[in-house]
Amino acid sequence: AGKGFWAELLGVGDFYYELGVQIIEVCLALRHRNGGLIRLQELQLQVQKGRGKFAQDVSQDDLLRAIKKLKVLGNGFGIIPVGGTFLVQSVPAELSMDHTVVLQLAEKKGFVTVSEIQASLKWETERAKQVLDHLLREGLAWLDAQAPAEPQFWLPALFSELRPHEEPPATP
Amino acid sequence: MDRFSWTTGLLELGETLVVQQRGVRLGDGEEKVKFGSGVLLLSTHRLIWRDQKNHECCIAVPLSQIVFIEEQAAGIGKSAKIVVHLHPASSKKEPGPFQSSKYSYIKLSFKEHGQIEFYRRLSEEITQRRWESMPTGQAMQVNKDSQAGRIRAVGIVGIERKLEEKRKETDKNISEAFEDLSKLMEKAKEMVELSKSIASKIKEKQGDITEDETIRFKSYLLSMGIANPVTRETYGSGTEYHMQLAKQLAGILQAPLEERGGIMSLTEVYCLVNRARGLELLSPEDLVNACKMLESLKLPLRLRIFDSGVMVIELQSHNEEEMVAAALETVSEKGSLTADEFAKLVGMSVLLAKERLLLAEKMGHLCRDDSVEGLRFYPNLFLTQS
Repeated sequence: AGKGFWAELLGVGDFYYELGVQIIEVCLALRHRNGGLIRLQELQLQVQKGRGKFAQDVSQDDLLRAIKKLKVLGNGFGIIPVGGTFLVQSVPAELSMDHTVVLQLAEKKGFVTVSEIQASLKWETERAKQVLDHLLREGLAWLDAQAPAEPQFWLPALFSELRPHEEPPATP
Repeated sequence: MDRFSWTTGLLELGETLVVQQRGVRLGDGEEKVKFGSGVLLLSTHRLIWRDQKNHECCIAVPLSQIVFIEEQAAGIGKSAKIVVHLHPASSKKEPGPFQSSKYSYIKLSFKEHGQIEFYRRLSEEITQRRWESMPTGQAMQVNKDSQAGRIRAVGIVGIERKLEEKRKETDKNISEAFEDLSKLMEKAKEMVELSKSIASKIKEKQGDITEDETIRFKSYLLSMGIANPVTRETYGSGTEYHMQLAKQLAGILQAPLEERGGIMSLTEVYCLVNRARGLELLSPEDLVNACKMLESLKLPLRLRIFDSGVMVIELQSHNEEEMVAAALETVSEKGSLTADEFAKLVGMSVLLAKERLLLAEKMGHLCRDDSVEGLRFYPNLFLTQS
C-alpha cells in the first residue's frame, strides 16, 4: 500500500499532492476578497505565479483533478460549472441548485439583479431575493445599492472577466 | 499447473534471462507434483523450470499469465515459498504436463534458499512488463530487412520519401504506444474485476478467513485504489501503512497543535505535513485514513468531524466544549461577534472560529442573528435570563 499501485506505476502522485497544497494556499489567501469562490482561470493564474517561472506548467485539467482529491479532507472543496468554465469553491458553504444557477446567470456581466433573474429564470421575487441574500451572507456576493435602475449583486469570483466599461462597486 | 507448456528452455530472440535459482520444487496449489527438484529461471517473458537430473524435462509459463504473487515465510521443516496466482490458461496454449488443475495458483518451494532475490526480481518483471515491448520470435528480423530495402532512392524525391517513411514510422510508434496504454487499461479492468469478486467471496465467508489474510488482502485493494469493502471496527479502513503513518503524524503534529491552541483543520494539516516532507507526499486519502486510526491507536491526537462536515485534528487534551465556555465569555464582553471578528480577537482561523461559535450555539450558549450583513452571535439571554 502506501503511495498506491497506480501512483507508483504512473509516477504522478507527488505532482497532484503538491498542487493540492498550492491550491489550498491560494484559496486561503484570496478568501477575504471572494468569499471562497474563485474562477478556475484565476486559480490557474495565481497557482502558476506561486510556482515560479521555472516550474512545470499546470493545466486546468490538472487543477480539477487535484481539487477532486482534496474533497476528502472535508473542508468544503467543490467545483461548480458555469458558462463553459468552472468556479472553485473552497469553503463549506451550502450552495444549492438555485444558487448555482444564479451564479451561472451572473457569469456574463459579473453581476445580476432581481429583474434579470425574474426575466431569465421566471422565478418569483421571494425566491430570487432568498438566493441573493444567501450569497451575500456567505460573502460570495457584494451589494451595490446605489446602482442606477435597481440594486446590483456583484460576484468577486467573476471579476477578472469584466469588460473595461463595467466596474465593480467601490465598497463591498 | 495446467498453465505450463513444454519448452526447449532456450531463450527466444528478444528474451533475456533475469535470474535463476537451483533447488526449486513446484507445487500445484496445495498438492505436490512430480517436479520436485529443478532450476527455476526468470526471463523477461517467462518463468521456466528445468529438472536438475533430466535436462530434457523443461516447462514454462508466460509472465503475462500471472495475476499476482505472494511470499510465504519458511517454517519448521518447511522451505520459504512464493505463491503465484495465475489467469486461466488460454485456449491457444502449447501442450504441457497437465491438462487441467483445480487450482488457480502454484507454489514455488525454495529448498536451497534464494527466494528473497527471486521474489524481488519477479515483482519487478511483472510490474515492468517488458515482454510487451519486446516481441519475441523470428518475425522482427524479417521486418527490419524489408524496411531497409525500401528506403534507397536519391535526390529530392528520395528525401521526400524518407521523410514520409519517418512520419509513418512515428505515427505507428504513437499508435503502438497507445495500444500499450489500452492493454494496460484492459489488464487494469481485469484486475479490478478479480479483486471485486475475491472481495465479495471474503464477505460471504467472513468466518473462514483469518485476520492476517484479510489485512493482507485489504492492503492489495487499497494499493490498487479500490475502496475497502470489508470493514472491521478495530481497524477502520486502515492498513499497516496507515498505522505507521498515524504514529508519524502524532509525532509531527504535537508541537504545531500546541502552537495553534490545540486544534487544526485537516486542510491545514495536509499543507503542513506535505510542505515538511518535500518528497513522497501524502495523498489526501492516505491522510484521512491515517487520521481515522488515531483514536483507536490511543495516540495523543484525534480526528473530529463537525456537523458541517469540516474535519479537524485536536489534541486529546483539547476539550472543545471547555473552549466554548471561554468563547461565551468573549462574546458577552463584546456584546456580539461575527465569526470574522471572533477569529481576529482570539487569533484563530475563521473556519475554526465559526465552528466553535456554531458549537456554542448548538449547546445553547449563543443565539444567532442571520442577516445580509453577516452571521452574528449573541449570548443566549433566553437561557440566562429566564
